[in-house]
Amino acid sequence: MNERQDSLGNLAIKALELMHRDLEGMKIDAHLNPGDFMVVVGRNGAGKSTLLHTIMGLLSPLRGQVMLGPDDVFSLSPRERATRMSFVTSTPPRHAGITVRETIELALKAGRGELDTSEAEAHMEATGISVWADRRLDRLSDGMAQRVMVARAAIQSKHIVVLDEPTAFLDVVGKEDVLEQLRQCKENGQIIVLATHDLESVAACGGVTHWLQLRPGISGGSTFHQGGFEPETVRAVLRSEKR
Amino acid sequence: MGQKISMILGGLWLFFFCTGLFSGPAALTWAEQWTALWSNQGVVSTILWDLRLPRLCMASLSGGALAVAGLLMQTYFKNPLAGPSVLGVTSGSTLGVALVSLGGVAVGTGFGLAGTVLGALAGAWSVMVLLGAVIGWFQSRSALLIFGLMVGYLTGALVTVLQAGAEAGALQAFVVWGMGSFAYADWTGVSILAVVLAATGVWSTRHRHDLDMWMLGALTARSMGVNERSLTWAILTITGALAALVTAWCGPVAFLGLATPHLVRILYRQHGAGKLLLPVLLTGSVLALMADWAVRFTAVPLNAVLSMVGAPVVLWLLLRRSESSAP
Repeated sequence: MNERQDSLGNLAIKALELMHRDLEGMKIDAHLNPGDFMVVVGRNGAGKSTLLHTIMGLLSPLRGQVMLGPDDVFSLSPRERATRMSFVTSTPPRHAGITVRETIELALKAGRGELDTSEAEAHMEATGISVWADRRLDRLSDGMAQRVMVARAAIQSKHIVVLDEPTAFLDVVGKEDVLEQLRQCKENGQIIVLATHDLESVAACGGVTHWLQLRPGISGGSTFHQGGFEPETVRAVLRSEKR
Repeated sequence: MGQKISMILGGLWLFFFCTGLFSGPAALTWAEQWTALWSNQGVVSTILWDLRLPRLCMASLSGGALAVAGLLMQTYFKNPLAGPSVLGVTSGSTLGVALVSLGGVAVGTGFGLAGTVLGALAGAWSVMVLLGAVIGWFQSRSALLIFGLMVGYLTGALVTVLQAGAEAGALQAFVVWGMGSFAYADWTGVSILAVVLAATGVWSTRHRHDLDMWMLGALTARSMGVNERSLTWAILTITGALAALVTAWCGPVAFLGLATPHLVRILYRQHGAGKLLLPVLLTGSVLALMADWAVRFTAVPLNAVLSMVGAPVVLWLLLRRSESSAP
């Protein structure tokens, strides 16, 4: 791990305070290396989405920094950022008429700036979505569309994949498929940052190396844990919060 | 498949352009017209160069402009029923023109050309800026359409007030203009529209991937490197300008902007915005030429022709929407 320490692909969240009036005073610190998998947990309204948007550079922080290797995320251009980090929202697109293949090709263009069709085909094959290659996104079920969006995120960015409750609307099989894809990303050396309420499925799939608990309104407000992501432990910690 | 359809459409375009150029109320022989086309003297030459050619060019450009504006709006608002006339942009232009031609804002009398164009642009851009400002508040896709409808009512009311106080000559000119026609085209209008359409083409080609990414949702698009603010303002400015210029010269032309992108999606079996740009431009041109052809041979006003064909087409689209809901 040590030789990767100052590579481009590290993610360091330093004394980050989020731009949201309910989340004032909550400081977040976390450090992740390539291949790390961090789960972000917290009650509703704890700031999970706000944190993810801030990590992605889509929302300015109140204070603090998000460092991607040597670069501050907010100093990168949107294009540059897109090559190094990607994002999956909780709802798949429902009004996009482009096909699965076109979506993967778009991700390659966003990430590399150029298109290698054979790479797109290989990626669809590897992620098990090639059977739907010519189907339109708006004709797929939520579960299928979300798998496509995760595959899209996986090929778009070199370093980091950030996901905001990607399994929220999926059935059991859909969840397992998405989480399995995340394990693949991790094995390829990408950092995974996943906000979820679905502790059991994520723990069962394995691979989680860190977890971050968000507790607005409490001094310090967040705890960064290394290892020990057990649903029982996490649930007990969340339950013990005074609301 | 796509190429074959483009060739058929190209053939149709050529057919309607040529029949439009070489036929009309003036009884002229082919030989006369052919010689006149290459000289710049005589009545026949004037008919061809000052009446028919600008009219055909204007029809082609307007159809393409409205169709592209419709495609950009449907993509940006992720709403299959968006279009310049649906979202109130055309109504805004109409009010601008009414202020100039009926309200006497223009220097001089009647339709001052520059005044009309500026009025149309100001009206269209006001509506677009309003749309850009309130879009974040709309939670549902139908709210946007209701916004357009209400803008239409409001501008309609103001236009009625202006009409009530207008003098007979100006009123008649305004009413005739409101029926829509490519017949008032001149080379100034054709050149301006051509330049703006070309600029639109350059912008859209460079940003065609952004348009497709945008359909995946605003957050996803931003995470893929799309600059939301510049995309928003570019689309609002471009679609406003296209709709306004067409309205200034041809009146509030109905349905082309709304219906053409849908027709193209069905014809080409493509649903990404990037790949549809050129086909939409071509199809819009062909449809406008066909409509103008019908106008010339039936003497029914343009908007009546377009509405008679357009309204059933849009209803049919609504009925099959469960099947094809993508913008």
